[in-house]
Amino acid sequence: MSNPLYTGWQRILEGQGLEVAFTGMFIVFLALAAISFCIAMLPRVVAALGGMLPEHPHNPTGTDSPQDDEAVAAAIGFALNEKNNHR
Amino acid sequence: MTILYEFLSASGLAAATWGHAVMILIGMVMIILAIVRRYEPLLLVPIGFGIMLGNIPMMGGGGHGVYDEGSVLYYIYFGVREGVFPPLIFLGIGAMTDFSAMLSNPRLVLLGAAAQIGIFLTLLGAMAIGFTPAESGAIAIIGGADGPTAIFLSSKLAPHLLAMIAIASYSYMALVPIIQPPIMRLFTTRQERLIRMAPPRAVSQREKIIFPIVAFIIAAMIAPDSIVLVGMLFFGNLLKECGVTERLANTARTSMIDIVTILLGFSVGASTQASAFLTLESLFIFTLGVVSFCIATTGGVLFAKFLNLFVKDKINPLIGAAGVSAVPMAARVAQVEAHREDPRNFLLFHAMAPNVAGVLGSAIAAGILWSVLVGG
Repeated sequence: MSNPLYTGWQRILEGQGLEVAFTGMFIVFLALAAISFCIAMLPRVVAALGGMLPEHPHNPTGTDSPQDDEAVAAAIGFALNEKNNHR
Repeated sequence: MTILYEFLSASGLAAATWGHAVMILIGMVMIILAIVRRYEPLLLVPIGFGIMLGNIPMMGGGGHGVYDEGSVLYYIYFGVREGVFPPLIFLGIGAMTDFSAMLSNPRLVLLGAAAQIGIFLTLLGAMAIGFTPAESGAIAIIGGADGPTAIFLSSKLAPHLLAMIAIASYSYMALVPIIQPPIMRLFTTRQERLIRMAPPRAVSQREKIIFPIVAFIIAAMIAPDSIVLVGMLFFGNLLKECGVTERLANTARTSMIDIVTILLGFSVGASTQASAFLTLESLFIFTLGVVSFCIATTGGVLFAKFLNLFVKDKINPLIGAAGVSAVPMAARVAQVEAHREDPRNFLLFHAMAPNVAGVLGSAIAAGILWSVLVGG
Protein backbone atom coordinates (compact mmCIF):
# COMPACT_ATOMS: atom_id res chain seq x y z
CA MET A 1 0.00 0.00 0.00
CA SER A 2 1.36 3.44 -0.88
CA ASN A 3 1.54 6.57 1.27
CA PRO A 4 -1.78 7.02 3.12
CA LEU A 5 -1.31 10.81 3.33
CA TYR A 6 -2.50 11.29 -0.22
CA THR A 7 -6.18 11.54 -0.81
CA GLY A 8 -7.74 9.04 -3.16
CA TRP A 9 -8.17 11.59 -5.89
CA GLN A 10 -4.57 12.70 -5.69
CA ARG A 11 -3.45 9.10 -5.90
CA ILE A 12 -5.51 8.60 -9.04
CA LEU A 13 -4.08 11.73 -10.63
CA GLU A 14 -0.56 10.85 -9.61
CA GLY A 15 -0.85 7.32 -11.01
CA GLN A 16 -2.35 8.73 -14.25
CA GLY A 17 -5.39 6.62 -13.46
CA LEU A 18 -7.83 8.70 -15.48
CA GLU A 19 -5.65 8.58 -18.59
CA VAL A 20 -5.15 4.83 -18.28
CA ALA A 21 -8.86 4.19 -17.68
CA PHE A 22 -10.13 6.37 -20.54
CA THR A 23 -7.48 5.19 -22.98
CA GLY A 24 -7.96 1.57 -21.98
CA MET A 25 -11.72 1.73 -22.41
CA PHE A 26 -11.32 3.51 -25.74
CA ILE A 27 -8.88 0.89 -27.07
CA VAL A 28 -11.11 -2.00 -25.96
CA PHE A 29 -14.08 -0.39 -27.71
CA LEU A 30 -12.00 0.38 -30.79
CA ALA A 31 -10.71 -3.19 -31.04
CA LEU A 32 -14.11 -4.80 -30.57
CA ALA A 33 -15.84 -2.26 -32.83
CA ALA A 34 -13.26 -3.04 -35.54
CA ILE A 35 -13.87 -6.76 -35.07
CA SER A 36 -17.62 -6.14 -35.17
CA PHE A 37 -17.24 -4.19 -38.42
CA CYS A 38 -15.14 -6.94 -39.97
CA ILE A 39 -17.70 -9.56 -38.94
CA ALA A 40 -20.39 -7.48 -40.65
CA MET A 41 -18.23 -7.42 -43.78
CA LEU A 42 -17.41 -11.14 -43.66
CA PRO A 43 -20.32 -12.38 -45.80
CA ARG A 44 -19.16 -10.08 -48.62
CA VAL A 45 -15.56 -11.22 -48.23
CA VAL A 46 -16.68 -14.82 -48.31
CA ALA A 47 -18.73 -14.19 -51.43
CA ALA A 48 -15.69 -12.55 -53.06
CA LEU A 49 -13.40 -15.44 -52.15
CA GLY A 50 -15.82 -17.85 -53.76
CA GLY A 51 -14.61 -21.44 -53.80
CA MET A 52 -11.19 -20.82 -52.27
CA LEU A 53 -12.24 -22.08 -48.85
CA PRO A 54 -14.19 -25.26 -48.11
CA GLU A 55 -17.82 -24.76 -47.16
CA HIS A 56 -17.82 -28.06 -45.31
CA PRO A 57 -14.80 -29.11 -43.28
CA HIS A 58 -12.79 -32.10 -44.36
CA ASN A 59 -13.26 -35.16 -42.25
CA PRO A 60 -9.94 -35.66 -40.48
CA THR A 61 -10.54 -39.36 -39.95
CA GLY A 62 -10.88 -39.74 -43.67
CA THR A 63 -13.25 -42.65 -43.38
CA ASP A 64 -16.61 -41.46 -44.55
CA SER A 65 -16.03 -39.41 -47.68
CA PRO A 66 -17.58 -41.06 -50.74
CA GLN A 67 -14.15 -41.58 -52.36
CA ASP A 68 -12.77 -43.21 -49.24
CA ASP A 69 -15.80 -45.43 -48.89
CA GLU A 70 -15.25 -46.65 -52.44
CA ALA A 71 -11.58 -47.30 -51.75
CA VAL A 72 -12.38 -49.25 -48.58
CA ALA A 73 -15.09 -51.24 -50.36
CA ALA A 74 -12.67 -52.03 -53.18
CA ALA A 75 -10.03 -53.18 -50.71
CA ILE A 76 -12.51 -55.40 -48.86
CA GLY A 77 -13.73 -56.81 -52.17
CA PHE A 78 -10.17 -57.51 -53.27
CA ALA A 79 -9.34 -59.25 -49.98
CA LEU A 80 -12.47 -61.41 -50.17
CA ASN A 81 -11.75 -62.26 -53.78
CA GLU A 82 -8.18 -63.28 -52.92
CA LYS A 83 -9.44 -65.40 -50.04
CA ASN A 84 -12.02 -67.16 -52.23
CA ASN A 85 -9.43 -67.80 -54.96
CA HIS A 86 -7.13 -69.49 -52.47
CA ARG A 87 -9.83 -71.94 -51.35
CA MET B 1 7.08 -41.55 25.43
CA THR B 2 9.85 -39.16 24.38
CA ILE B 3 9.60 -40.37 20.80
CA LEU B 4 5.84 -39.82 20.80
CA TYR B 5 6.31 -36.31 22.22
CA GLU B 6 8.94 -35.49 19.59
CA PHE B 7 6.68 -36.85 16.86
CA LEU B 8 3.73 -34.79 18.05
CA SER B 9 5.78 -31.60 18.41
CA ALA B 10 7.01 -32.01 14.82
CA SER B 11 3.50 -32.68 13.50
CA GLY B 12 1.17 -30.22 11.82
CA LEU B 13 -0.98 -30.00 14.94
CA ALA B 14 1.81 -28.45 16.99
CA ALA B 15 2.49 -25.76 14.38
CA ALA B 16 -1.17 -24.99 13.60
CA THR B 17 -2.48 -21.48 14.07
CA TRP B 18 -6.02 -20.09 13.78
CA GLY B 19 -5.01 -18.79 10.34
CA HIS B 20 -4.29 -22.30 9.10
CA ALA B 21 -7.62 -23.48 10.48
CA VAL B 22 -9.51 -20.68 8.74
CA MET B 23 -7.79 -21.37 5.42
CA ILE B 24 -8.48 -25.10 5.64
CA LEU B 25 -12.09 -24.24 6.39
CA ILE B 26 -12.22 -21.98 3.31
CA GLY B 27 -10.85 -24.83 1.22
CA MET B 28 -13.51 -27.16 2.59
CA VAL B 29 -16.28 -24.64 1.90
CA MET B 30 -15.14 -24.38 -1.72
CA ILE B 31 -15.18 -28.14 -2.13
CA ILE B 32 -18.62 -28.36 -0.51
CA LEU B 33 -19.96 -25.57 -2.74
CA ALA B 34 -18.59 -27.39 -5.77
CA ILE B 35 -19.98 -30.80 -4.83
CA VAL B 36 -23.28 -29.83 -3.23
CA ARG B 37 -24.22 -26.68 -5.13
CA ARG B 38 -22.32 -27.50 -8.34
CA TYR B 39 -20.65 -24.06 -8.38
CA GLU B 40 -17.86 -24.33 -10.98
CA PRO B 41 -16.77 -27.77 -9.68
CA LEU B 42 -13.96 -28.14 -12.22
CA LEU B 43 -12.30 -25.10 -10.67
CA LEU B 44 -13.40 -25.06 -7.06
CA VAL B 45 -12.49 -28.68 -6.28
CA PRO B 46 -8.81 -28.31 -7.34
CA ILE B 47 -8.56 -24.84 -5.79
CA GLY B 48 -10.27 -25.91 -2.56
CA PHE B 49 -8.06 -28.96 -2.15
CA GLY B 50 -5.01 -26.87 -3.03
CA ILE B 51 -5.92 -24.38 -0.30
CA MET B 52 -6.12 -27.18 2.24
CA LEU B 53 -2.80 -28.61 1.09
CA GLY B 54 -1.07 -25.23 1.08
CA ASN B 55 -2.17 -24.51 4.62
CA ILE B 56 -1.08 -27.67 6.38
CA PRO B 57 1.34 -26.25 8.95
CA MET B 58 4.85 -27.64 8.92
CA MET B 59 7.57 -27.16 11.49
CA GLY B 60 10.51 -25.25 10.03
CA GLY B 61 8.75 -24.65 6.74
CA GLY B 62 8.95 -28.27 5.58
CA GLY B 63 10.15 -27.28 2.14
CA HIS B 64 7.15 -28.74 0.29
CA GLY B 65 5.19 -25.60 -0.56
CA VAL B 66 4.82 -23.72 -3.84
CA TYR B 67 7.31 -21.10 -2.66
CA ASP B 68 9.98 -23.64 -1.61
CA GLU B 69 12.51 -23.89 -4.41
CA GLY B 70 13.07 -27.46 -5.50
CA SER B 71 9.74 -28.81 -4.25
CA VAL B 72 7.33 -30.51 -6.64
CA LEU B 73 4.71 -27.84 -6.06
CA TYR B 74 7.28 -25.14 -6.81
CA TYR B 75 7.70 -26.53 -10.32
CA ILE B 76 3.99 -26.95 -10.86
CA TYR B 77 3.44 -23.37 -9.68
CA PHE B 78 5.99 -22.24 -12.29
CA GLY B 79 3.18 -22.35 -14.85
CA VAL B 80 1.18 -19.87 -12.79
CA ARG B 81 4.08 -17.68 -11.69
CA GLU B 82 5.41 -17.23 -15.21
CA GLY B 83 2.00 -16.98 -16.85
CA VAL B 84 2.32 -20.23 -18.86
CA PHE B 85 -0.98 -21.86 -17.92
CA PRO B 86 -3.43 -19.06 -18.85
CA PRO B 87 -2.51 -18.94 -22.57
CA LEU B 88 -2.82 -22.74 -22.73
CA ILE B 89 -6.27 -22.49 -21.20
CA PHE B 90 -7.13 -19.87 -23.79
CA LEU B 91 -6.03 -22.30 -26.50
CA GLY B 92 -8.48 -24.85 -25.11
CA ILE B 93 -11.24 -22.26 -24.78
CA GLY B 94 -10.67 -21.22 -28.40
CA ALA B 95 -10.92 -24.85 -29.49
CA MET B 96 -14.27 -25.26 -27.75
CA THR B 97 -15.82 -21.88 -28.54
CA ASP B 98 -18.36 -21.51 -31.28
CA PHE B 99 -18.34 -17.90 -32.46
CA SER B 100 -21.51 -18.37 -34.54
CA ALA B 101 -23.60 -16.25 -32.16
CA MET B 102 -21.18 -13.37 -32.52
CA LEU B 103 -20.82 -13.81 -36.27
CA SER B 104 -24.57 -13.83 -36.78
CA ASN B 105 -25.11 -10.57 -34.87
CA PRO B 106 -21.93 -8.46 -34.83
CA ARG B 107 -23.43 -5.47 -33.01
CA LEU B 108 -23.65 -7.61 -29.85
CA VAL B 109 -19.85 -7.60 -29.75
CA LEU B 110 -20.08 -4.07 -28.39
CA LEU B 111 -21.83 -5.34 -25.26
CA GLY B 112 -18.68 -7.31 -24.51
CA ALA B 113 -16.72 -4.07 -24.76
CA ALA B 114 -19.13 -2.11 -22.57
CA ALA B 115 -18.88 -4.63 -19.75
CA GLN B 116 -15.14 -3.98 -19.51
CA ILE B 117 -15.93 -0.65 -17.87
CA GLY B 118 -15.91 -2.57 -14.59
CA ILE B 119 -12.19 -3.16 -15.04
CA PHE B 120 -11.29 0.44 -15.68
CA LEU B 121 -13.49 2.01 -12.99
CA THR B 122 -12.17 -0.46 -10.43
CA LEU B 123 -8.66 0.52 -11.48
CA LEU B 124 -9.47 4.02 -10.26
CA GLY B 125 -11.05 2.70 -7.05
CA ALA B 126 -8.02 0.58 -6.22
CA MET B 127 -5.69 3.50 -6.86
CA ALA B 128 -7.82 5.72 -4.62
CA ILE B 129 -7.60 3.19 -1.79
CA GLY B 130 -3.83 3.26 -2.01
CA PHE B 131 -2.75 0.34 -4.16
CA THR B 132 0.05 1.08 -6.63
CA PRO B 133 -1.00 1.48 -10.29
CA ALA B 134 0.36 -2.01 -11.11
CA GLU B 135 -1.46 -3.60 -8.18
CA SER B 136 -4.61 -1.68 -9.11
CA GLY B 137 -4.48 -3.02 -12.66
CA ALA B 138 -4.10 -6.57 -11.41
CA ILE B 139 -7.02 -6.17 -8.99
CA ALA B 140 -9.22 -4.42 -11.56
CA ILE B 141 -9.02 -7.32 -14.01
CA ILE B 142 -11.19 -9.35 -11.61
CA GLY B 143 -14.06 -7.39 -13.20
CA GLY B 144 -13.32 -9.18 -16.45
CA ALA B 145 -14.66 -12.32 -14.74
CA ASP B 146 -12.06 -14.38 -16.47
CA GLY B 147 -9.85 -16.45 -14.17
CA PRO B 148 -7.00 -17.22 -16.60
CA THR B 149 -6.80 -13.57 -17.67
CA ALA B 150 -6.73 -12.43 -14.04
CA ILE B 151 -3.94 -14.91 -13.24
CA PHE B 152 -1.97 -13.94 -16.33
CA LEU B 153 -2.13 -10.22 -15.61
CA SER B 154 -1.48 -10.45 -11.88
CA SER B 155 1.55 -12.69 -12.54
CA LYS B 156 2.93 -9.84 -14.62
CA LEU B 157 1.83 -6.81 -12.61
CA ALA B 158 1.55 -7.91 -8.98
CA PRO B 159 2.82 -11.46 -8.37
CA HIS B 160 2.51 -11.00 -4.59
CA LEU B 161 -1.27 -10.56 -4.98
CA LEU B 162 -1.71 -13.40 -7.46
CA ALA B 163 -3.23 -15.92 -5.06
CA MET B 164 -5.79 -13.49 -3.69
CA ILE B 165 -6.74 -12.19 -7.13
CA ALA B 166 -7.05 -15.70 -8.55
CA ILE B 167 -9.25 -16.89 -5.70
CA ALA B 168 -11.39 -13.74 -5.84
CA SER B 169 -11.75 -14.08 -9.59
CA TYR B 170 -12.74 -17.74 -9.56
CA SER B 171 -15.02 -17.26 -6.56
CA TYR B 172 -16.95 -14.50 -8.27
CA MET B 173 -17.12 -16.52 -11.49
CA ALA B 174 -18.73 -19.28 -9.46
CA LEU B 175 -21.09 -16.76 -7.87
CA VAL B 176 -22.31 -15.27 -11.15
CA PRO B 177 -25.83 -16.76 -10.67
CA ILE B 178 -26.06 -14.98 -7.32
CA ILE B 179 -24.36 -11.65 -8.04
CA GLN B 180 -25.80 -10.81 -11.45
CA PRO B 181 -29.61 -11.37 -11.30
CA PRO B 182 -30.41 -8.60 -8.78
CA ILE B 183 -28.43 -6.10 -10.86
CA MET B 184 -30.06 -7.26 -14.07
CA ARG B 185 -33.52 -6.84 -12.55
CA LEU B 186 -32.64 -3.48 -11.00
CA PHE B 187 -31.63 -1.88 -14.29
CA THR B 188 -34.30 -3.35 -16.58
CA THR B 189 -38.05 -3.03 -16.78
CA ARG B 190 -40.28 -6.04 -17.18
CA GLN B 191 -41.08 -4.82 -20.67
CA GLU B 192 -37.40 -4.90 -21.57
CA ARG B 193 -36.89 -8.34 -20.07
CA LEU B 194 -39.70 -9.63 -22.27
CA ILE B 195 -38.04 -8.53 -25.52
CA ARG B 196 -37.73 -11.41 -27.95
CA MET B 197 -34.79 -11.05 -30.23
CA ALA B 198 -34.85 -11.71 -33.96
CA PRO B 199 -33.63 -15.19 -34.92
CA PRO B 200 -29.95 -15.25 -35.87
CA ARG B 201 -28.83 -15.70 -39.47
CA ALA B 202 -27.04 -18.87 -40.50
CA VAL B 203 -23.26 -18.60 -40.46
CA SER B 204 -21.25 -20.35 -43.15
CA GLN B 205 -18.22 -22.50 -42.43
CA ARG B 206 -16.10 -20.15 -44.54
CA GLU B 207 -16.95 -17.26 -42.22
CA LYS B 208 -16.01 -19.36 -39.22
CA ILE B 209 -12.63 -20.15 -40.79
CA ILE B 210 -11.83 -16.58 -41.81
CA PHE B 211 -13.00 -15.01 -38.56
CA PRO B 212 -10.23 -16.15 -36.15
CA ILE B 213 -7.54 -15.07 -38.61
CA VAL B 214 -9.00 -11.63 -39.26
CA ALA B 215 -10.03 -10.99 -35.64
CA PHE B 216 -6.57 -11.99 -34.40
CA ILE B 217 -4.84 -9.58 -36.75
CA ILE B 218 -7.15 -6.73 -35.74
CA ALA B 219 -6.86 -7.36 -32.00
CA ALA B 220 -3.11 -7.88 -32.16
CA MET B 221 -2.54 -4.75 -34.24
CA ILE B 222 -4.62 -2.55 -31.94
CA ALA B 223 -3.44 -4.06 -28.63
CA PRO B 224 -0.17 -5.93 -29.32
CA ASP B 225 0.32 -6.91 -25.70
CA SER B 226 -2.82 -9.00 -25.83
CA ILE B 227 -1.37 -11.36 -28.45
CA VAL B 228 -0.43 -14.06 -25.96
CA LEU B 229 -4.01 -14.55 -24.81
CA VAL B 230 -5.89 -13.46 -27.91
CA GLY B 231 -3.46 -15.29 -30.18
CA MET B 232 -3.93 -18.57 -28.36
CA LEU B 233 -7.71 -18.09 -28.26
CA PHE B 234 -7.96 -17.59 -32.01
CA PHE B 235 -5.36 -20.25 -32.79
CA GLY B 236 -7.48 -22.73 -30.84
CA ASN B 237 -10.56 -21.57 -32.68
CA LEU B 238 -8.88 -21.95 -36.06
CA LEU B 239 -7.91 -25.51 -35.12
CA LYS B 240 -11.57 -26.16 -34.39
CA GLU B 241 -13.06 -24.53 -37.46
CA CYS B 242 -10.59 -25.23 -40.25
CA GLY B 243 -11.75 -28.84 -40.43
CA VAL B 244 -8.35 -30.41 -41.04
CA THR B 245 -6.92 -30.34 -37.50
CA GLU B 246 -9.73 -31.97 -35.61
CA ARG B 247 -7.31 -34.13 -33.61
CA LEU B 248 -5.39 -31.08 -32.39
CA ALA B 249 -8.58 -29.19 -31.57
CA ASN B 250 -9.94 -32.18 -29.74
CA THR B 251 -6.81 -32.52 -27.63
CA ALA B 252 -6.76 -28.79 -26.88
CA ARG B 253 -10.38 -28.70 -25.73
CA THR B 254 -10.31 -31.94 -23.73
CA SER B 255 -7.10 -33.49 -22.39
CA MET B 256 -4.90 -30.40 -22.53
CA ILE B 257 -7.30 -27.91 -20.96
CA ASP B 258 -8.22 -30.47 -18.30
CA ILE B 259 -4.59 -31.08 -17.36
CA VAL B 260 -3.78 -27.38 -17.25
CA THR B 261 -6.93 -26.64 -15.23
CA ILE B 262 -5.98 -29.26 -12.66
CA LEU B 263 -2.41 -27.95 -12.35
CA LEU B 264 -3.48 -24.31 -12.32
CA GLY B 265 -6.33 -24.67 -9.87
CA PHE B 266 -4.41 -26.89 -7.51
CA SER B 267 -1.25 -24.79 -7.46
CA VAL B 268 -3.14 -21.50 -7.15
CA GLY B 269 -5.00 -22.98 -4.19
CA ALA B 270 -1.76 -24.18 -2.64
CA SER B 271 -0.26 -20.70 -3.01
CA THR B 272 -2.79 -19.17 -0.61
CA GLN B 273 -0.99 -19.16 2.68
CA ALA B 274 -2.74 -17.90 5.76
CA SER B 275 -0.10 -15.31 6.65
CA ALA B 276 -0.47 -13.56 3.29
CA PHE B 277 -4.13 -14.32 2.66
CA LEU B 278 -5.88 -13.33 5.89
CA THR B 279 -5.01 -9.64 5.74
CA LEU B 280 -6.82 -6.33 5.35
CA GLU B 281 -5.36 -6.11 1.85
CA SER B 282 -7.23 -9.31 0.89
CA LEU B 283 -10.45 -7.83 2.20
CA PHE B 284 -9.94 -4.77 -0.02
CA ILE B 285 -9.17 -7.00 -3.00
CA PHE B 286 -12.29 -9.11 -2.51
CA THR B 287 -14.44 -5.99 -2.04
CA LEU B 288 -12.99 -4.27 -5.09
CA GLY B 289 -13.45 -7.49 -7.04
CA VAL B 290 -17.16 -7.73 -6.34
CA VAL B 291 -17.61 -4.00 -7.03
CA SER B 292 -15.79 -4.45 -10.33
CA PHE B 293 -18.02 -7.37 -11.19
CA CYS B 294 -21.19 -5.41 -10.38
CA ILE B 295 -20.07 -2.40 -12.43
CA ALA B 296 -19.23 -4.67 -15.36
CA THR B 297 -22.68 -6.26 -15.23
CA THR B 298 -24.34 -2.86 -15.00
CA GLY B 299 -22.22 -1.52 -17.87
CA GLY B 300 -23.29 -4.33 -20.17
CA VAL B 301 -26.99 -4.02 -19.31
CA LEU B 302 -27.06 -0.22 -19.63
CA PHE B 303 -25.16 -0.27 -22.93
CA ALA B 304 -27.71 -2.71 -24.36
CA LYS B 305 -30.44 -0.24 -23.37
CA PHE B 306 -28.43 2.56 -24.98
CA LEU B 307 -28.09 0.60 -28.23
CA ASN B 308 -31.85 0.04 -28.21
CA LEU B 309 -32.30 3.78 -28.70
CA PHE B 310 -30.81 3.46 -32.19
CA VAL B 311 -31.60 -0.01 -33.52
CA LYS B 312 -34.75 -1.36 -35.11
CA ASP B 313 -34.38 -4.96 -33.93
CA LYS B 314 -34.37 -4.48 -30.18
CA ILE B 315 -31.84 -6.17 -27.94
CA ASN B 316 -32.99 -7.76 -24.72
CA PRO B 317 -30.80 -5.86 -22.21
CA LEU B 318 -30.46 -8.98 -20.05
CA ILE B 319 -27.86 -10.28 -22.47
CA GLY B 320 -25.70 -7.24 -21.75
CA ALA B 321 -24.83 -8.83 -18.42
CA ALA B 322 -23.20 -11.70 -20.31
CA GLY B 323 -20.53 -9.28 -21.52
CA VAL B 324 -18.54 -9.98 -18.36
CA SER B 325 -17.27 -13.21 -19.95
CA ALA B 326 -17.48 -16.02 -17.33
CA VAL B 327 -18.35 -18.33 -20.23
CA PRO B 328 -20.92 -19.83 -20.38
CA MET B 329 -22.30 -19.14 -16.90
CA ALA B 330 -23.15 -15.47 -17.56
CA ALA B 331 -25.01 -16.39 -20.76
CA ARG B 332 -26.95 -19.05 -18.86
CA VAL B 333 -27.93 -16.49 -16.23
CA ALA B 334 -29.31 -14.19 -18.95
CA GLN B 335 -31.30 -17.13 -20.31
CA VAL B 336 -32.65 -18.04 -16.87
CA GLU B 337 -33.71 -14.46 -16.15
CA ALA B 338 -35.45 -14.12 -19.51
CA HIS B 339 -37.09 -17.50 -19.02
CA ARG B 340 -38.39 -16.41 -15.63
CA GLU B 341 -40.38 -13.59 -17.29
CA ASP B 342 -41.37 -15.49 -20.40
CA PRO B 343 -40.89 -19.27 -20.50
CA ARG B 344 -40.93 -19.19 -24.29
CA ASN B 345 -38.17 -16.61 -24.68
CA PHE B 346 -34.84 -18.28 -25.53
CA LEU B 347 -31.91 -15.92 -25.20
CA LEU B 348 -29.04 -18.34 -24.68
CA PHE B 349 -27.74 -18.23 -28.24
CA HIS B 350 -27.92 -14.42 -28.35
CA ALA B 351 -26.27 -14.12 -24.93
CA MET B 352 -23.31 -16.18 -26.11
CA ALA B 353 -22.31 -13.32 -28.43
CA PRO B 354 -21.51 -10.74 -25.72
CA ASN B 355 -20.24 -13.59 -23.58
CA VAL B 356 -17.44 -14.59 -25.98
CA ALA B 357 -16.90 -10.94 -26.91
CA GLY B 358 -16.35 -10.36 -23.19
CA VAL B 359 -13.56 -12.94 -23.19
CA LEU B 360 -11.94 -11.05 -26.05
CA GLY B 361 -12.55 -7.69 -24.38
CA SER B 362 -11.02 -8.72 -21.06
CA ALA B 363 -7.98 -10.24 -22.82
CA ILE B 364 -7.48 -7.00 -24.73
CA ALA B 365 -7.96 -4.97 -21.53
CA ALA B 366 -5.37 -7.17 -19.82
CA GLY B 367 -2.94 -6.51 -22.67
CA ILE B 368 -3.48 -2.78 -22.36
CA LEU B 369 -3.03 -2.76 -18.58
CA TRP B 370 0.08 -4.90 -18.88
CA SER B 371 1.69 -2.60 -21.43
CA VAL B 372 0.84 0.60 -19.55
CA LEU B 373 1.25 -0.41 -15.92
CA VAL B 374 4.11 -2.90 -15.88
CA GLY B 375 6.74 -1.66 -13.46
CA GLY B 376 4.27 0.91 -12.07
